[in-house]
Amino acid sequence: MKSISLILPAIFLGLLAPTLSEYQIYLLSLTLLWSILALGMGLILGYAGEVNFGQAGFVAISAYVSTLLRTKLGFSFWEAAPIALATTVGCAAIVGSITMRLRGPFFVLVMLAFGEIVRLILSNWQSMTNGPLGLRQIAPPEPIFGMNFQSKLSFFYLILAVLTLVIIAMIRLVNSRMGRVFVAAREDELLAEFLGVPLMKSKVIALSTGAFVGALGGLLLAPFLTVLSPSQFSMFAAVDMVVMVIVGGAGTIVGPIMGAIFLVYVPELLSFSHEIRPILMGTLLILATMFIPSGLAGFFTPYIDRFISRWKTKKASL
Amino acid sequence: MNTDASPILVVEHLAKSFGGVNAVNDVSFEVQLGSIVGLIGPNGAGKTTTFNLISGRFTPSAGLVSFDGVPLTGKRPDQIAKLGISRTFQGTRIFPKLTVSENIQIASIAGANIGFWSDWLGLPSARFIEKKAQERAYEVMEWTGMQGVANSVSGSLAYAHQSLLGMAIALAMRPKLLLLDEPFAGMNPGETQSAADMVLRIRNDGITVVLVEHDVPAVMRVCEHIVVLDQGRKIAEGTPKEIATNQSVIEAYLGINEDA
Repeated sequence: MKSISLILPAIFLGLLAPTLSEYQIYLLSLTLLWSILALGMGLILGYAGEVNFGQAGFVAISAYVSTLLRTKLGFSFWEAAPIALATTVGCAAIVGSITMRLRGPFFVLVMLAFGEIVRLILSNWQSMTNGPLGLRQIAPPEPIFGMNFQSKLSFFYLILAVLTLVIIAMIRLVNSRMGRVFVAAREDELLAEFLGVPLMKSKVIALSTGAFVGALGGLLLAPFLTVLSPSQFSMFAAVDMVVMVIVGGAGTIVGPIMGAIFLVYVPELLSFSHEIRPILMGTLLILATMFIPSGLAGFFTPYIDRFISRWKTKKASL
Repeated sequence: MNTDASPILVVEHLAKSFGGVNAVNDVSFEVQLGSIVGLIGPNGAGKTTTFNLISGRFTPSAGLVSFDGVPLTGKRPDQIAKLGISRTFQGTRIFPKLTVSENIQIASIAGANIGFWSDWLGLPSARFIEKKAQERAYEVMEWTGMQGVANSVSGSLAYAHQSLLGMAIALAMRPKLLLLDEPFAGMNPGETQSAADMVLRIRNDGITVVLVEHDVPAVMRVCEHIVVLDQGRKIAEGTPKEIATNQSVIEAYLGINEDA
């Protein structure tokens, strides 16, 4: 029932999209892309309880590997995608097995360093990545199963489809044993371990699945923006994801999506200049933790529940 | 009680030192299958450290612990838990933000052997384990009489209830051996009595129990076998009667609490 209530908006968006202007479709696509990225962060931050400032590094690995496979080796988008995803998850598993031994602030610092290392490699490996100038004119995904992704609208449908699959997969995951194990380890590591949870393994799995979701976002990001440069994957990109999760509501699935909607549309509507974006993010983070610690999702859930129960009783009385 | 009992837990020459201080020093004892064993001693005697050594929180400096014939040396807490040893903590340890039923359900499933994919895809093998864990959670909930507070946030419960939940969490793991760290601490006589009854029922259900406790009269009532520690060493071992009349125990410990 809950999963249906999350899928219905996807169908609604799909029907709505053809009536929108190109700019509105662009904004919506951007929102959905950020939703995928925020969900990846939401898994590790909200469920496993670890702040991963290196998440942008994983997104970058996926975006660059897939794009380079296409431009340098002539792979199609669909051939490059699984390789890029596997590379990212492999990196996450290796980085995770090293860093997950570290507790508290050390994990945060090492992942921050990891993200920066990825960014520096991308900036300095000029022959491969074209350095800070970046990769340009990235083509949309090649047609598959008779579907063509040349138009902005068709690409929007692709992003919508991926997001929907991510949501379904994540609902499954958080309700599975593994999801509950993540929560147990988040709430009390010591107790979880004595209940039979292999801490290291479960944290590495959380980091890797979070990286996988981020990598899906990275795959779509490259052809959506048509340009890739290392500066897109700085620590601030990871901070944006963290803010989306916290403002939207950590430990939920709708939360990161609400956070992404909020953080794409609010700056756009108020036409904030790019320079003050970090200030906006910082302020929002402080306000959210002070006034709505359970995020937008936690703030609205009681109202939505009341609305649904009222609607149900009305239906019952008819 | 099983008369031709065999030891389920063997502790041999166990030692642990922290920076030169011998918290546990050459302690040996055996726990018979299906018995209730009490570990008593004054503050700092090394009781909780012994528990931490058995359950894998600390690695022994020397000595050996074996459970059901399997040496536990070098095993992590989660591996030891999976072998069938569960424990509670001093001052209780629960997931305070989760409800009572969530606490018990997590405990019943956390250590289950389900592969990532069969778990995520909800394959029949995973569902079968899940169903059995679910059943165990209900069983424990009913058994401990916590159905009435099943949906309460566990951190908001009264202390005696939290302590009971700590025991329920440990039981949800279907242990063979249960280590209880001060199960009667902070309880009034009535609560102690019902907790002691619970310990007896746990044993009658086929689970061996070792408990660390300060409440000596309660230990005397519940336990069949008592091990007395003082300053990291074992100073006596025997039935409650033998312990009550043991001269070195009276000197070290009971003498102070004779009227208790």
